[in-house]
Amino acid sequence: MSRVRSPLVSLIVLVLLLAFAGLASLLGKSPPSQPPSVRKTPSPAATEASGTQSSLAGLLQVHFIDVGQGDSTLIITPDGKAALIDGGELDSGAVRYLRTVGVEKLDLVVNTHPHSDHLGGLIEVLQTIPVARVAAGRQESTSSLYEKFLDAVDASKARYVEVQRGQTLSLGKLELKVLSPPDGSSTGDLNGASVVLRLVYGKTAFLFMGDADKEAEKAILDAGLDVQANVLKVGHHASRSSSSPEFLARVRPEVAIYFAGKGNPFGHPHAETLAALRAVKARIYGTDTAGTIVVTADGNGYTVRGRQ
Amino acid sequence: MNEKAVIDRFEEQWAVLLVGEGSRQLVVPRQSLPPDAAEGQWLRVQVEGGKLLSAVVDGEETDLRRRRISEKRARLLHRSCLQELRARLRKEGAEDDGKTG
Repeated sequence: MSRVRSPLVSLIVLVLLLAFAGLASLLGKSPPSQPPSVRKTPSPAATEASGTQSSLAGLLQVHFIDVGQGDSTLIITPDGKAALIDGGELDSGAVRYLRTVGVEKLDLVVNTHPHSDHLGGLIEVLQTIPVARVAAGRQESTSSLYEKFLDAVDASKARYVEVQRGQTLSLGKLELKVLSPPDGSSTGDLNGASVVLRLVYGKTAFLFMGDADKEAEKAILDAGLDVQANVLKVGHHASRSSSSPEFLARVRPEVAIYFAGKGNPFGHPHAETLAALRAVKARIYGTDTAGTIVVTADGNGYTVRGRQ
Repeated sequence: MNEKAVIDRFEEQWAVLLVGEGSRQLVVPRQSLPPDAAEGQWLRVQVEGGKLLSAVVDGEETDLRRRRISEKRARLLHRSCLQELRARLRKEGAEDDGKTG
Protein backbone atom coordinates (compact mmCIF):
# COMPACT_ATOMS: atom_id res chain seq x y z
CA MET A 1 0.00 0.00 0.00
CA SER A 2 2.75 2.43 0.92
CA ARG A 3 4.29 2.09 -2.54
CA VAL A 4 1.01 2.89 -4.17
CA ARG A 5 0.35 5.78 -1.89
CA SER A 6 3.75 7.42 -1.85
CA PRO A 7 3.59 9.12 -5.30
CA LEU A 8 0.23 10.50 -4.28
CA VAL A 9 1.67 11.76 -1.01
CA SER A 10 4.58 13.34 -2.90
CA LEU A 11 2.15 14.98 -5.25
CA ILE A 12 0.13 16.34 -2.36
CA VAL A 13 3.30 17.68 -0.73
CA LEU A 14 4.32 19.28 -4.01
CA VAL A 15 0.89 20.76 -4.45
CA LEU A 16 0.95 22.15 -0.92
CA LEU A 17 4.42 23.59 -1.40
CA LEU A 18 3.33 25.27 -4.60
CA ALA A 19 0.18 26.43 -2.92
CA PHE A 20 2.13 28.14 -0.18
CA ALA A 21 4.76 29.50 -2.56
CA GLY A 22 2.72 32.50 -3.55
CA LEU A 23 -0.20 31.20 -5.51
CA ALA A 24 -2.17 34.25 -4.53
CA SER A 25 -1.21 35.65 -7.92
CA LEU A 26 -3.20 32.91 -9.59
CA LEU A 27 -6.32 33.81 -7.72
CA GLY A 28 -8.80 36.14 -9.21
CA LYS A 29 -7.89 35.17 -12.76
CA SER A 30 -10.16 33.78 -15.38
CA PRO A 31 -11.82 30.38 -15.19
CA PRO A 32 -11.72 28.06 -18.22
CA SER A 33 -14.02 29.25 -20.99
CA GLN A 34 -17.57 28.06 -20.66
CA PRO A 35 -20.75 28.27 -22.67
CA PRO A 36 -23.06 31.25 -22.10
CA SER A 37 -24.85 31.34 -18.78
CA VAL A 38 -27.86 33.16 -20.07
CA ARG A 39 -30.47 31.76 -22.40
CA LYS A 40 -30.06 33.53 -25.75
CA THR A 41 -33.78 33.77 -26.35
CA PRO A 42 -35.49 35.46 -23.46
CA SER A 43 -38.52 33.55 -22.20
CA PRO A 44 -41.92 35.28 -22.40
CA ALA A 45 -41.60 36.02 -18.70
CA ALA A 46 -38.20 37.58 -19.22
CA THR A 47 -39.47 39.65 -22.12
CA GLU A 48 -42.31 40.90 -20.00
CA ALA A 49 -40.00 41.72 -17.09
CA SER A 50 -37.32 43.42 -19.12
CA GLY A 51 -39.63 45.05 -21.62
CA THR A 52 -37.22 44.49 -24.48
CA GLN A 53 -37.29 42.21 -27.49
CA SER A 54 -33.71 42.82 -28.56
CA SER A 55 -31.19 40.01 -28.59
CA LEU A 56 -28.39 40.14 -26.04
CA ALA A 57 -25.67 39.96 -28.68
CA GLY A 58 -23.34 42.96 -28.50
CA LEU A 59 -25.08 44.37 -25.47
CA LEU A 60 -23.93 44.65 -21.91
CA GLN A 61 -26.78 44.71 -19.41
CA VAL A 62 -26.52 45.86 -15.83
CA HIS A 63 -29.60 45.22 -13.70
CA PHE A 64 -29.93 47.08 -10.41
CA ILE A 65 -32.43 44.70 -8.85
CA ASP A 66 -35.07 46.04 -6.50
CA VAL A 67 -34.45 43.92 -3.40
CA GLY A 68 -35.88 46.41 -0.89
CA GLN A 69 -33.29 47.75 1.57
CA GLY A 70 -30.21 46.05 0.12
CA ASP A 71 -27.91 45.82 -2.88
CA SER A 72 -28.03 43.36 -5.77
CA THR A 73 -26.55 44.04 -9.20
CA LEU A 74 -26.66 41.62 -12.11
CA ILE A 75 -24.22 41.99 -15.00
CA ILE A 76 -24.81 40.15 -18.27
CA THR A 77 -21.95 40.50 -20.76
CA PRO A 78 -22.28 40.60 -24.56
CA ASP A 79 -20.93 37.04 -24.70
CA GLY A 80 -23.59 35.80 -22.28
CA LYS A 81 -21.58 35.60 -19.06
CA ALA A 82 -23.36 36.55 -15.86
CA ALA A 83 -22.13 38.04 -12.58
CA LEU A 84 -24.02 39.03 -9.47
CA ILE A 85 -22.64 41.66 -7.11
CA ASP A 86 -24.36 41.17 -3.72
CA GLY A 87 -27.74 39.58 -3.14
CA GLY A 88 -29.77 41.81 -0.82
CA GLU A 89 -31.17 40.44 2.43
CA LEU A 90 -32.04 36.82 3.12
CA ASP A 91 -34.82 35.73 0.72
CA SER A 92 -34.61 39.04 -1.11
CA GLY A 93 -36.09 37.70 -4.34
CA ALA A 94 -32.76 37.89 -6.21
CA VAL A 95 -33.05 34.23 -7.26
CA ARG A 96 -36.54 34.79 -8.63
CA TYR A 97 -35.29 37.77 -10.61
CA LEU A 98 -32.34 35.83 -12.06
CA ARG A 99 -34.71 33.11 -13.23
CA THR A 100 -37.09 35.65 -14.74
CA VAL A 101 -34.37 37.14 -16.90
CA GLY A 102 -33.07 33.72 -17.95
CA VAL A 103 -29.88 33.45 -15.90
CA GLU A 104 -29.28 29.72 -15.39
CA LYS A 105 -25.81 29.91 -13.90
CA LEU A 106 -23.44 32.54 -12.64
CA ASP A 107 -19.83 32.81 -13.73
CA LEU A 108 -19.07 35.12 -10.85
CA VAL A 109 -20.64 36.14 -7.56
CA VAL A 110 -19.13 39.04 -5.62
CA ASN A 111 -19.86 39.90 -2.02
CA THR A 112 -18.69 43.47 -1.51
CA HIS A 113 -18.77 43.07 2.30
CA PRO A 114 -20.52 40.75 4.73
CA HIS A 115 -23.39 42.93 6.01
CA SER A 116 -26.78 41.23 5.87
CA ASP A 117 -28.27 43.64 3.30
CA HIS A 118 -25.59 42.64 0.77
CA LEU A 119 -24.81 39.08 1.82
CA GLY A 120 -28.06 37.41 2.94
CA GLY A 121 -29.60 36.83 -0.50
CA LEU A 122 -26.39 35.28 -1.84
CA ILE A 123 -26.94 32.24 0.39
CA GLU A 124 -30.08 31.23 -1.53
CA VAL A 125 -28.33 32.06 -4.83
CA LEU A 126 -25.46 29.70 -3.97
CA GLN A 127 -27.90 26.99 -2.88
CA THR A 128 -30.02 27.09 -6.03
CA ILE A 129 -27.96 28.35 -8.99
CA PRO A 130 -24.64 26.87 -10.20
CA VAL A 131 -21.84 29.35 -9.46
CA ALA A 132 -18.31 29.04 -10.88
CA ARG A 133 -16.49 31.59 -8.77
CA VAL A 134 -17.12 33.64 -5.64
CA ALA A 135 -15.07 36.73 -4.84
CA ALA A 136 -15.07 38.67 -1.58
CA GLY A 137 -12.94 41.10 0.36
CA ARG A 138 -10.60 40.01 3.14
CA GLN A 139 -12.58 41.32 6.07
CA GLU A 140 -14.10 38.48 8.03
CA SER A 141 -17.35 38.73 9.95
CA THR A 142 -18.53 36.79 13.00
CA SER A 143 -22.19 36.91 12.01
CA SER A 144 -24.49 33.94 11.63
CA LEU A 145 -25.22 34.87 8.01
CA TYR A 146 -21.53 35.11 7.11
CA GLU A 147 -21.01 31.59 8.45
CA LYS A 148 -23.99 30.35 6.40
CA PHE A 149 -22.53 32.09 3.36
CA LEU A 150 -19.17 30.31 3.81
CA ASP A 151 -21.03 27.00 4.23
CA ALA A 152 -23.01 27.68 1.05
CA VAL A 153 -19.87 28.58 -0.94
CA ASP A 154 -18.23 25.39 0.30
CA ALA A 155 -21.23 23.22 -0.61
CA SER A 156 -21.52 24.86 -4.04
CA LYS A 157 -17.93 23.84 -4.96
CA ALA A 158 -17.46 27.31 -6.42
CA ARG A 159 -13.92 28.64 -6.39
CA TYR A 160 -13.53 31.20 -3.61
CA VAL A 161 -11.12 34.10 -3.96
CA GLU A 162 -10.46 37.15 -1.84
CA VAL A 163 -9.50 40.22 -3.80
CA GLN A 164 -7.79 43.53 -3.26
CA ARG A 165 -6.77 46.65 -5.15
CA GLY A 166 -4.79 45.96 -8.30
CA GLN A 167 -6.44 42.66 -9.14
CA THR A 168 -9.00 42.06 -11.86
CA LEU A 169 -11.89 39.66 -12.10
CA SER A 170 -12.48 38.52 -15.65
CA LEU A 171 -15.98 37.97 -16.91
CA GLY A 172 -16.00 36.65 -20.45
CA LYS A 173 -14.12 39.22 -22.51
CA LEU A 174 -14.68 41.95 -19.94
CA GLU A 175 -12.81 42.77 -16.77
CA LEU A 176 -13.86 44.05 -13.39
CA LYS A 177 -11.02 46.06 -11.92
CA VAL A 178 -10.71 45.98 -8.13
CA LEU A 179 -10.12 49.55 -6.85
CA SER A 180 -10.58 48.76 -3.16
CA PRO A 181 -9.93 47.42 -0.50
CA PRO A 182 -6.21 48.18 -0.43
CA ASP A 183 -3.47 45.64 0.10
CA GLY A 184 -3.13 44.14 3.57
CA SER A 185 -5.69 43.40 6.22
CA SER A 186 -7.92 46.32 7.01
CA THR A 187 -8.82 47.14 10.56
CA GLY A 188 -11.61 49.53 9.70
CA ASP A 189 -15.29 48.65 9.67
CA LEU A 190 -16.85 46.40 7.07
CA ASN A 191 -18.33 49.21 4.94
CA GLY A 192 -14.91 50.81 4.52
CA ALA A 193 -13.48 47.45 3.43
CA SER A 194 -16.06 47.07 0.61
CA VAL A 195 -14.91 45.62 -2.68
CA VAL A 196 -15.12 48.48 -5.20
CA LEU A 197 -15.22 47.50 -8.88
CA ARG A 198 -14.91 49.38 -12.17
CA LEU A 199 -16.13 47.91 -15.43
CA VAL A 200 -15.49 49.41 -18.87
CA TYR A 201 -17.34 48.35 -22.01
CA GLY A 202 -16.34 50.41 -25.04
CA LYS A 203 -17.11 54.02 -24.22
CA THR A 204 -19.15 53.30 -21.11
CA ALA A 205 -17.68 52.90 -17.62
CA PHE A 206 -19.46 51.65 -14.52
CA LEU A 207 -18.35 52.09 -10.92
CA PHE A 208 -19.76 49.82 -8.23
CA MET A 209 -19.03 51.26 -4.79
CA GLY A 210 -20.55 48.70 -2.41
CA ASP A 211 -20.89 50.54 0.91
CA ALA A 212 -17.44 52.20 0.67
CA ASP A 213 -17.26 55.35 2.80
CA LYS A 214 -15.55 58.71 2.28
CA GLU A 215 -12.31 57.41 3.77
CA ALA A 216 -12.20 54.56 1.25
CA GLU A 217 -13.02 57.04 -1.54
CA LYS A 218 -10.08 59.22 -0.50
CA ALA A 219 -7.75 56.19 -0.42
CA ILE A 220 -8.84 55.27 -3.96
CA LEU A 221 -8.11 58.81 -5.19
CA ASP A 222 -4.78 58.88 -3.31
CA ALA A 223 -3.79 55.66 -5.10
CA GLY A 224 -4.19 57.55 -8.40
CA LEU A 225 -6.77 55.16 -9.83
CA ASP A 226 -9.09 56.08 -12.69
CA VAL A 227 -12.57 56.39 -11.21
CA GLN A 228 -14.36 58.10 -14.12
CA ALA A 229 -17.75 56.45 -14.65
CA ASN A 230 -20.77 57.21 -16.79
CA VAL A 231 -22.85 55.12 -14.42
CA LEU A 232 -22.19 55.19 -10.68
CA LYS A 233 -23.67 52.70 -8.22
CA VAL A 234 -23.73 55.16 -5.35
CA GLY A 235 -21.96 54.00 -2.17
CA HIS A 236 -23.91 52.90 0.91
CA HIS A 237 -27.50 53.46 -0.25
CA ALA A 238 -26.76 57.17 -0.84
CA SER A 239 -26.03 57.63 2.83
CA ARG A 240 -24.11 60.71 4.00
CA SER A 241 -21.23 58.38 4.97
CA SER A 242 -20.22 58.27 1.30
CA SER A 243 -20.08 60.27 -1.96
CA SER A 244 -17.79 63.15 -0.98
CA PRO A 245 -17.86 66.11 -3.39
CA GLU A 246 -14.13 65.53 -4.12
CA PHE A 247 -14.78 61.94 -5.14
CA LEU A 248 -17.87 62.74 -7.23
CA ALA A 249 -15.92 65.48 -9.03
CA ARG A 250 -13.47 62.82 -10.22
CA VAL A 251 -16.10 60.19 -11.06
CA ARG A 252 -18.18 62.69 -13.07
CA PRO A 253 -21.23 60.38 -13.18
CA GLU A 254 -23.94 61.06 -15.76
CA VAL A 255 -26.19 58.55 -14.05
CA ALA A 256 -26.21 57.78 -10.33
CA ILE A 257 -28.10 54.74 -9.08
CA TYR A 258 -28.69 53.93 -5.42
CA PHE A 259 -30.35 50.99 -3.68
CA ALA A 260 -32.82 51.71 -0.90
CA GLY A 261 -36.03 50.24 0.45
CA LYS A 262 -39.09 52.45 0.54
CA GLY A 263 -39.59 53.79 4.08
CA ASN A 264 -36.37 52.20 5.38
CA PRO A 265 -35.58 52.99 9.03
CA PHE A 266 -32.21 54.59 8.23
CA GLY A 267 -33.50 57.50 6.17
CA HIS A 268 -31.63 56.37 3.02
CA PRO A 269 -31.12 58.13 0.68
CA HIS A 270 -29.90 61.16 2.63
CA ALA A 271 -30.88 64.57 1.28
CA GLU A 272 -27.33 65.99 1.37
CA THR A 273 -26.03 63.06 -0.69
CA LEU A 274 -28.72 63.54 -3.33
CA ALA A 275 -27.78 67.24 -3.38
CA ALA A 276 -24.10 66.32 -3.90
CA LEU A 277 -25.07 64.06 -6.81
CA ARG A 278 -27.25 66.80 -8.32
CA ALA A 279 -24.34 69.22 -7.93
CA VAL A 280 -22.29 67.14 -10.39
CA LYS A 281 -25.34 67.02 -12.69
CA ALA A 282 -25.95 63.28 -12.36
CA ARG A 283 -29.36 61.90 -13.29
CA ILE A 284 -30.46 60.09 -10.14
CA TYR A 285 -32.33 56.80 -10.00
CA GLY A 286 -33.23 54.86 -6.84
CA THR A 287 -34.75 51.42 -6.43
CA ASP A 288 -37.05 52.87 -3.73
CA THR A 289 -38.89 54.95 -6.32
CA ALA A 290 -38.05 53.30 -9.66
CA GLY A 291 -37.98 49.61 -8.72
CA THR A 292 -35.47 47.61 -10.77
CA ILE A 293 -33.30 49.76 -13.04
CA VAL A 294 -31.63 48.32 -16.14
CA VAL A 295 -28.74 49.97 -18.00
CA THR A 296 -27.97 48.59 -21.44
CA ALA A 297 -24.69 49.51 -23.15
CA ASP A 298 -23.69 48.73 -26.73
CA GLY A 299 -20.08 49.89 -26.57
CA ASN A 300 -20.83 53.35 -27.96
CA GLY A 301 -23.49 54.52 -25.56
CA TYR A 302 -26.08 53.33 -23.11
CA THR A 303 -29.72 53.60 -22.18
CA VAL A 304 -31.35 53.55 -18.76
CA ARG A 305 -34.71 51.98 -18.13
CA GLY A 306 -36.36 53.10 -14.91
CA ARG A 307 -38.15 56.11 -13.47
CA GLN A 308 -35.79 58.98 -12.69
CA MET B 1 -36.60 34.52 26.80
CA ASN B 2 -32.84 34.75 26.60
CA GLU B 3 -31.57 34.50 23.02
CA LYS B 4 -28.33 34.89 21.14
CA ALA B 5 -27.95 37.73 18.65
CA VAL B 6 -25.11 39.31 16.69
CA ILE B 7 -24.58 42.97 15.87
CA ASP B 8 -24.56 42.88 12.07
CA ARG B 9 -23.87 46.60 11.70
CA PHE B 10 -24.53 50.12 12.83
CA GLU B 11 -26.37 52.65 10.69
CA GLU B 12 -25.64 55.94 12.46
CA GLN B 13 -27.81 55.86 15.61
CA TRP B 14 -29.29 52.44 14.75
CA ALA B 15 -27.96 48.95 15.32
CA VAL B 16 -29.04 45.99 13.18
CA LEU B 17 -29.20 42.74 15.14
CA LEU B 18 -29.49 39.27 13.66
CA VAL B 19 -31.33 37.23 16.26
CA GLY B 20 -30.83 33.47 16.65
CA GLU B 21 -29.12 32.03 13.58
CA GLY B 22 -29.81 35.07 11.45
CA SER B 23 -33.27 34.71 9.98
CA ARG B 24 -34.78 37.34 12.30
CA GLN B 25 -33.66 40.93 12.18
CA LEU B 26 -34.14 43.62 14.77
CA VAL B 27 -33.30 47.29 14.30
CA VAL B 28 -32.76 48.97 17.68
CA PRO B 29 -31.41 52.32 18.87
CA ARG B 30 -27.67 52.09 19.31
CA GLN B 31 -27.97 53.49 22.83
CA SER B 32 -30.12 50.53 23.90
CA LEU B 33 -26.99 48.35 23.61
CA PRO B 34 -24.12 48.24 26.13
CA PRO B 35 -21.64 51.10 25.57
CA ASP B 36 -18.84 48.66 24.59
CA ALA B 37 -21.01 46.97 21.94
CA ALA B 38 -19.22 46.67 18.59
CA GLU B 39 -19.93 45.36 15.10
CA GLY B 40 -19.60 41.57 15.01
CA GLN B 41 -20.11 41.13 18.75
CA TRP B 42 -22.49 38.47 20.03
CA LEU B 43 -25.06 39.35 22.67
CA ARG B 44 -27.51 37.66 24.96
CA VAL B 45 -30.77 39.48 24.39
CA GLN B 46 -34.31 39.49 25.68
CA VAL B 47 -36.82 40.31 22.98
CA GLU B 48 -40.55 40.59 23.50
CA GLY B 49 -43.06 41.63 20.87
CA GLY B 50 -40.28 42.92 18.63
CA LYS B 51 -38.88 45.07 21.46
CA LEU B 52 -35.43 44.69 22.96
CA LEU B 53 -35.76 44.39 26.73
CA SER B 54 -32.13 43.71 27.58
CA ALA B 55 -28.77 43.07 25.93
CA VAL B 56 -25.50 41.82 27.43
CA VAL B 57 -22.23 41.31 25.53
CA ASP B 58 -21.32 37.62 25.23
CA GLY B 59 -17.55 37.51 24.75
CA GLU B 60 -17.36 33.74 24.91
CA GLU B 61 -19.85 33.29 22.08
CA THR B 62 -18.04 35.95 20.02
CA ASP B 63 -14.72 34.11 20.43
CA LEU B 64 -16.29 30.76 19.62
CA ARG B 65 -17.87 32.07 16.41
CA ARG B 66 -14.72 33.91 15.38
CA ARG B 67 -12.58 30.78 15.77
CA ARG B 68 -15.08 28.55 13.95
CA ILE B 69 -15.57 31.02 11.09
CA SER B 70 -11.84 31.71 10.68
CA GLU B 71 -11.26 27.98 10.38
CA LYS B 72 -14.02 27.55 7.79
CA ARG B 73 -12.72 30.47 5.77
CA ALA B 74 -9.14 29.17 5.84
CA ARG B 75 -10.35 25.74 4.73
CA LEU B 76 -12.34 27.26 1.89
CA LEU B 77 -9.38 29.35 0.70
CA HIS B 78 -7.14 26.30 0.83
CA ARG B 79 -9.59 24.14 -1.09
CA SER B 80 -10.02 26.83 -3.75
CA CYS B 81 -6.28 27.23 -4.05
CA LEU B 82 -5.88 23.52 -4.76
CA GLN B 83 -8.79 23.66 -7.23
CA GLU B 84 -7.11 26.53 -9.05
CA LEU B 85 -3.79 24.70 -9.11
CA ARG B 86 -5.33 21.50 -10.43
CA ALA B 87 -7.08 23.47 -13.17
CA ARG B 88 -3.75 25.10 -14.10
CA LEU B 89 -1.91 21.79 -14.20
CA ARG B 90 -4.65 20.26 -16.34
CA LYS B 91 -4.53 23.21 -18.69
CA GLU B 92 -0.74 23.13 -18.97
CA GLY B 93 -0.88 19.36 -19.48
CA ALA B 94 -3.37 19.82 -22.29
CA GLU B 95 -1.14 22.48 -23.88
CA ASP B 96 1.91 20.20 -23.67
CA ASP B 97 -0.05 17.37 -25.25
CA GLY B 98 -1.03 19.75 -28.00
CA LYS B 99 2.60 20.65 -28.71
CA THR B 100 3.93 17.10 -28.77
CA GLY B 101 0.90 15.65 -30.56
